[in-house]
Amino acid sequence: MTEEDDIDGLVAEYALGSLSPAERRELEARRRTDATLAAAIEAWERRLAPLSEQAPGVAPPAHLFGRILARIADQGATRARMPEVVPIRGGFGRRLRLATAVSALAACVALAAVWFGHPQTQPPGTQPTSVSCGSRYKDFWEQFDRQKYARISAEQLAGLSRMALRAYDACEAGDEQDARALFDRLRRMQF
Amino acid sequence: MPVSRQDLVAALQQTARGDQAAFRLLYEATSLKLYGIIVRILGRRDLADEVLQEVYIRVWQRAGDFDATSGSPITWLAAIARNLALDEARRKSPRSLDEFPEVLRLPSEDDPAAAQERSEELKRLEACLDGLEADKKELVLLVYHYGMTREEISGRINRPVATVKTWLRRSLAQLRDCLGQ
Repeated sequence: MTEEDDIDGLVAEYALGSLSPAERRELEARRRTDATLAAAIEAWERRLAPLSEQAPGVAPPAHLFGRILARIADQGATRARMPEVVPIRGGFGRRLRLATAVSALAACVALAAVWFGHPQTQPPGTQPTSVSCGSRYKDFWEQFDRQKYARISAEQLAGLSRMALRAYDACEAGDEQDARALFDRLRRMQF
Repeated sequence: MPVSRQDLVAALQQTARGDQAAFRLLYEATSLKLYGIIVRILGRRDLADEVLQEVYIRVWQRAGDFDATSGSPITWLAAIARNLALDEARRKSPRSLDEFPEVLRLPSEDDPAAAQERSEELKRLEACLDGLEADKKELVLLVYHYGMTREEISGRINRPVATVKTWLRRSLAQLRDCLGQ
């Protein structure tokens, strides 16, 4: 088997979905800089794409599109600042991820500032859910070992921040099931 | 909502320019399909909800990357959905074999409703899949629809991982040659 065959086999397995996480990450990193590889992946995705027709559609929950718009609005400032950096695939993704991480972090800091700064402004008993949502959010970040900041990627940190904010939002909105699922998931994450 | 390929291309191009109405149309036309793909791979609605959001946020951010001359919009969207779902599925590995169905259930060819919707591309691919041995065909479909890794398949069929890898690669090479593209 030649090297070329082997790479096509690897790419085929990537498009099919059978690779391990490490293999997927490696191929995705190479895809960003290797146009031939990127084209090979797209060719395999095209070959297998008709199979998606076999899977029956499933209606997503009605509220999801609203959440997507809300999250896009949160990132609006980021997009407005850098709309045309796009021509190179991958490069854009990385800049965007970093920008997302920065804006997500900024949001965390802002939110943290709100209640670290004003612990006494909440009249006791008026908004019990808000207090408990806030402390759940705060507890998560306190438990999250600060040293992990240095170890995880900007993308992971952004994802983590977004999820923590979503958990807080869900809790505030009274969607306890959603909030608990998100907070539980955050606690189980390993870095 | 049945929308033509041309409509989807236009919606993607308008989305790339920040048009939210076009983005909504794109979501309405494609979310049923993409959510179906994601739910099947993840098997859990709560995780699928999050991945679907990530998918459309990525679509909003990167619609400008879509190249209408080199592919169909639904293929491009489905690839994003599959890749994010597979990444999410890998995060909670190893999964228990109980999480996968005993048998692969897909709309059968005898089902007239399903038959009507089959594209020429799917018919051609299915003809090539029928050229594989039955157990190899099932492996290919299990991986595609449920995102099973070689290790997970190895546990399911009680064969070494290396054998699974060889089978998958041979089957895929055979499909590529059969399709001739």
